[in-house]
Amino acid sequence: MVSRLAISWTMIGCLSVIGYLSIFGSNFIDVFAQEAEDIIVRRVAIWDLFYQGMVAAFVVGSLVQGTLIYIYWRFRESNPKNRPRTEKKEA
Amino acid sequence: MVLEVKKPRPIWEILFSTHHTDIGLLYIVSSVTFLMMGGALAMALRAELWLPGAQIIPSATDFHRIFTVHGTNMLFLWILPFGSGVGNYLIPIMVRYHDMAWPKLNAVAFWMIPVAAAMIWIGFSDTGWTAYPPYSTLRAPGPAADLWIFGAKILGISSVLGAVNFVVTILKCKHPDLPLMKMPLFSWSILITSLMIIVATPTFAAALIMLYTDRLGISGFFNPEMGGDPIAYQHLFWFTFHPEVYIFLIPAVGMLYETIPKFSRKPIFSYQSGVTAFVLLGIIGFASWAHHMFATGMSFTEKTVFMVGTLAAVPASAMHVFNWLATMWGGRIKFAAPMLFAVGAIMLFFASGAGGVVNTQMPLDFITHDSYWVVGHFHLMLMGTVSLGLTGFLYYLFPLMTGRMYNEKWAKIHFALAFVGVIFVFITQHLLGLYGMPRRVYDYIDSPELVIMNQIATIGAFTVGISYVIMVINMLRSAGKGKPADMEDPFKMGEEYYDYRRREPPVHQ
Repeated sequence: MVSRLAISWTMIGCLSVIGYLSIFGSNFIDVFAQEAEDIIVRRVAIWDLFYQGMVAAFVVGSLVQGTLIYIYWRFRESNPKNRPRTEKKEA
Repeated sequence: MVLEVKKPRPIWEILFSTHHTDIGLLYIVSSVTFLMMGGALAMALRAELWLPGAQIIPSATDFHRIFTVHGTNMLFLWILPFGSGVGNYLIPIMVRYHDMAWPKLNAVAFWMIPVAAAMIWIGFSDTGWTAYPPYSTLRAPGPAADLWIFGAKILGISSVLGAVNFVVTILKCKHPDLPLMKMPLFSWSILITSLMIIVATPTFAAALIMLYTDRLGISGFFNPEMGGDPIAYQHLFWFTFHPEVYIFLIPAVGMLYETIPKFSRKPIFSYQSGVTAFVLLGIIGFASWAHHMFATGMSFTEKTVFMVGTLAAVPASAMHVFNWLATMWGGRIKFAAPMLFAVGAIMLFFASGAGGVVNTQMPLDFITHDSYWVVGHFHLMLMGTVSLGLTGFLYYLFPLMTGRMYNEKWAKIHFALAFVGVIFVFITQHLLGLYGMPRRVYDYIDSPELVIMNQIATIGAFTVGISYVIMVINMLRSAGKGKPADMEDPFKMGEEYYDYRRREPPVHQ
């Protein structure tokens, strides 16, 4: 059986890869271009990177916060679907 | 079970006690007192920023004095002592020992705090809580800055004494039949925090001595005219205070590990991943200090190293969040006040962490550096995650400490106001930063965007302030006249509650 530690690491690894690809897979290196022939407006490139970072943060954030809200709603003790087994049997 | 307040005792008996629960109580009461004092200063700051121009604070210097004492007070007199207080209360019980390893040293460590607090509050320095040179060495007026330096020094010594005591209590006084990997995760959080304090604090202690001798003019460590370098102070400072961020955070995370399984009626999803994440954070915390200094002219390579070092903390932090989510999944969650604060802290933990990832990336850091974004980010972490986590645990411990129940309805109102207020004030501050408002300013440009956002932040701050006044009134009233708590199951969970002492093996002497 897969250990719970391994499950935790796998989930976190997947989220990290999504975030990493969203940010670093883009124009991160362009921002620091040192060669004379590279004509870039760093201010524009940095804000571009910022918005990409925000998109990644909101994607991952909505996944995590959405899961949290679902858990709070689904597994609250007042949810009729979430009665203890003994109570269900009696009902 | 030990009930400290329920037993009528003369106050001096608690004040001069060396018993761990008495010291824990003193830490907790004093830290909550300092929270309210520091909070009052925050209200003054936000009231001043309601509109551009001078409002209620006479001068920019006074404004600087207020935010210096506010910052120092909240970090070193609220968050840190509260963690120590809860640690004092619970660690000996959790490791099955009759007291802390050195009870008298424990009392000495506590009683240093009021002395240091008096020095900081009487001095009312204007250096900022970072006390960066050259201002702090060349221009900051004494004795205010000198009192701040000595106050910070005493607080550092107190922290180290407390940390040594915790490490020895956990590692040497732990019951021989209790393996480390069976200790509650809160004990792990205090162990890791204490080890971090022991490693990190001496650097700042040395920096403070250098700062003081620079102020006296007998050395020039940070004075360029004497061959020194002000940036060297920043390295020494952040080598201590970036790990200190985790020192503030990790005890709160440990407290969430106590409340979340309890109120979800489920065991922790993965104890091992919790321990692993604590240890990783303890190590990685030392690999990222210079990310506070990207704008000081560091080389690309240096910045890359510290950027990667900082990002390495993300998986460890995410492990905690995943562990909490997986623990709650499939449980029967009771949303009593401690759990409400815990889930609020988790939600804001992710939001503040995302802001931190933005700061960490060096190109983006140049957009946000020294802007209100930074203020919003670290306040969202320290107030949104850490303080809400600590406050929830205060409600959780309240029946244990007093034998009485707090008023649940008012506690829930407290949570609702604090949670909404924190979002209003600190998310808005992120936006203020992106609109170009610099931090630590007494006045700002009279533009409609800045004015409206500052007013939203001020309303949020007062909402948080009112919520904490409600908490204090609720606790004071409930400690005297509250309903006696059912000590077997005060939160009506349908299970035994304060079972620390009943667990095997028994407490040993």
